[in-house]
Amino acid sequence: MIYKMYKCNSFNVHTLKTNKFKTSHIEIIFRKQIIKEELGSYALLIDVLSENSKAYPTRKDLIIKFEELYKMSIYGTTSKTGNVLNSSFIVDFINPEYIDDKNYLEEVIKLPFELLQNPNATNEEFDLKTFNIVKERIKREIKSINDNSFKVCVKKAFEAMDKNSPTAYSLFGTIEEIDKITPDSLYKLYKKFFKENVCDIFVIGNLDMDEVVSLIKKNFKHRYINNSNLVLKVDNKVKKKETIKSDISDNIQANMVMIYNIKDLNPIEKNITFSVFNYIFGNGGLTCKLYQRIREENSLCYSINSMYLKYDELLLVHVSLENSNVKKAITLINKCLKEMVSGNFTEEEVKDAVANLCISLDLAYDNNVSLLNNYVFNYFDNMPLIDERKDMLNKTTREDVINLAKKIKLNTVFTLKGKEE
Amino acid sequence: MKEISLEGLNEKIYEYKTKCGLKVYMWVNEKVNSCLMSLSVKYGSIHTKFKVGKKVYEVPNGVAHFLEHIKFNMSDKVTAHDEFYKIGGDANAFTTFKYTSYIVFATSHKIDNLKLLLDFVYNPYFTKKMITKEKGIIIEEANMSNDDPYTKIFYDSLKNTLQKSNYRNLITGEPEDIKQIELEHIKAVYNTFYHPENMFLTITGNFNPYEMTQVVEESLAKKEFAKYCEPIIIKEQEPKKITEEYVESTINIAYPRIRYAVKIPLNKFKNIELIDLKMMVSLIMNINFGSTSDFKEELIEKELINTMRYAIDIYDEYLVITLSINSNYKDEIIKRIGDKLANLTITEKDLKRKKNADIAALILQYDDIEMVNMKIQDDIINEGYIITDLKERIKNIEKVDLDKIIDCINLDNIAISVFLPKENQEC
Repeated sequence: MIYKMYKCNSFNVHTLKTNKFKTSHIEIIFRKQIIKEELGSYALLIDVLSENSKAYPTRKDLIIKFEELYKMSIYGTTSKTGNVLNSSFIVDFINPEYIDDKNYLEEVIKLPFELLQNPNATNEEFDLKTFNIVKERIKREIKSINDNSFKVCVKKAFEAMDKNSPTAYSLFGTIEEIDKITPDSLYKLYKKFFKENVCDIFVIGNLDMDEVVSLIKKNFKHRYINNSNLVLKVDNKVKKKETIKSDISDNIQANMVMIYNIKDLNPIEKNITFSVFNYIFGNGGLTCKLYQRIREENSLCYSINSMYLKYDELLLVHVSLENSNVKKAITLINKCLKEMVSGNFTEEEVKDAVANLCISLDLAYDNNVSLLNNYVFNYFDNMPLIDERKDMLNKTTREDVINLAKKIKLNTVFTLKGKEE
Repeated sequence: MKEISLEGLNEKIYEYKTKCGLKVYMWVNEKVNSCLMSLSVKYGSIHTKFKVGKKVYEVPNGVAHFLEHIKFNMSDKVTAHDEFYKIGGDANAFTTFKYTSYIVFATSHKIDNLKLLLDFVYNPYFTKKMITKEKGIIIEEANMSNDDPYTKIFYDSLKNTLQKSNYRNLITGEPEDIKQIELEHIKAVYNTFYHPENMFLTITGNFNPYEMTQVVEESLAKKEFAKYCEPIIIKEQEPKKITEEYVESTINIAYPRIRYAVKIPLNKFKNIELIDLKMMVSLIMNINFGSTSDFKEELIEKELINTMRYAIDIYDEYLVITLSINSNYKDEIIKRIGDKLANLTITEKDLKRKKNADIAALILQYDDIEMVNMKIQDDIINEGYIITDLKERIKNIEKVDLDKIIDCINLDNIAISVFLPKENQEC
């Protein structure tokens, strides 16, 4: 496996050549600092751009082209990494070695840039039909969050924590914001898109990477050089007294979320120690403390999980259970965290957690997207690569985990109550 | 050891049968680090009534899933998870309508993980205490399913399509079913079905197949198995008619959803293997209702629908084609879908393109140890053997074959289920 970075003035191409997989994968990532008011417009823009293009003016035309290129796929998506908005175009295709057509690779690489640079627009306005279809789809995405009680609970919990924090921003904006966007205003945003975003392209596959880069350069006429010093971290403030809020839903079960701040972590704690802590505390499957106390010893729930939101500097615990068991669950979760702070876990548990985390990292070698992500975050945030991370994990001690646990402070408890019996 | 070659894919599957009757299927990929082992039992949520000799057993819904949960207890104090944790195995299990599977991912200590998988599944340790404890957990799991609108839509639509079949029931069982499960039910199911002759092991990834089969043989030699009692599953005869032609209900969703299900007896399709039937119906639906169809494009452009998906399933002796649509215009959509189903068409050009795309997808399956593992399990459960000529079967499909299938798709039994948002949710 060979990693190489090609600097192409206005963008970089990062290539990872490997013959491990039958497919190749490209991520074209544009990044900028998050601005709350822009989130809905960006979601709409990226969706409109990946829906069709000048040469393929309907979704049907584009999908026929994908099928002609042996079921290649391209999709556009926006995501948040802490305080940064990523607008990504993801391309997957079968390795050229399986295809007889000599022009196959060129045709595949041409397509995402056709979508990006030749949108279905006339007189500086996006095609109205396309615009309306995508607009409705985004509005549906926003409304459909209500179909999932877990998502509703997390959203409300973040709002209860601090509705002005980027962590609480909705990736799709609001219905009102989407309704205000027009084909003309969206095109204005498109015109600024290349100027305001930093672009990096990541490629993994069994490809001639020099050829890939030359094809990208030939097809991507991007000339804006942008500042790449983006701040990832969201500064979610610690509270003197935790916020406790609840709401009522129409569900059978209650959903409960506890949000904790994690402040002042050094890079090793952030990238390494926290994963060991979380494995023992609540994310290590069926042997972790939360699972054992809440599910196995007290039969209060089917699943409980803790999530580390690294760039938001938060830890989130979620459980769904009966209304009458919520108080008991909160007491038990608090007790589990106290046990972590007081070191109520063994060296053996640390060793086992490290061993299992190393195995998860080994599994990343077997998946092209995971393998590539390793290099994406290494470049964006200096996250150590897999082998280095494994070495660092093996140096983690029980004391390191205890010291980290002391930096965790409860911020918010939010309960979305189920309907009463 | 038998080597089964997969035509046109340059892949092979190893097949081995142990002395006690357990079949082992293996696919080796030396480019990856990990391996996935799944020990599957041909017993799922629909098998609630069965006969051994003259004795008939009837167990509550949800027993297969309940047994899968408590199977992980190896003794009063030790669970299989504790043991897998020590050797770095990532173990889990799942229950489907037709089978139950215990799985473990390993990147190291692969032999130890395999031994442990066999040890814990073939360890008949069940107590009343563990059943009492697990009931609370599984009832919460069933409640989670009942709170999920998409699960509710799936099962409510099945209930409107199938009158008596056990496919109508939640795999976990409803909370009331779960409360009825007792130790005797668990033991009866385990003793009857968890026999090597009714099970199979699938291993995919990086390993030595000869070493693995030796380990399996040695491990099983240490265990005692009674003679396989060859149970017979008793099924309710599913009537030809659907349950309800049209049902409207309100649930917790943001957008109205229509499920349009067509139920067709399999005996309508004469001399066609099930595997071919499923592929051909899938091509017909893809060409007529997929993203490259004029029909879907028009509905989207006229903003009559947001999404439209289709599914093809075999439930006992019936083929069920289901279209699932998000739309605010239910009456118009129901009419248009009915008209389109009555006028299905195929062009040579579309067929050729779709076939090429399907072949590419088939090649790509052999990049993923999880996908290949699932594919082998599906083949064994649904067909009883490994399908070796899938690529050829796709290549050989002609327009005339699809036209014949279209002629057999009769629309006598259609169940339409409409799910509307509750009043407090806007649409």
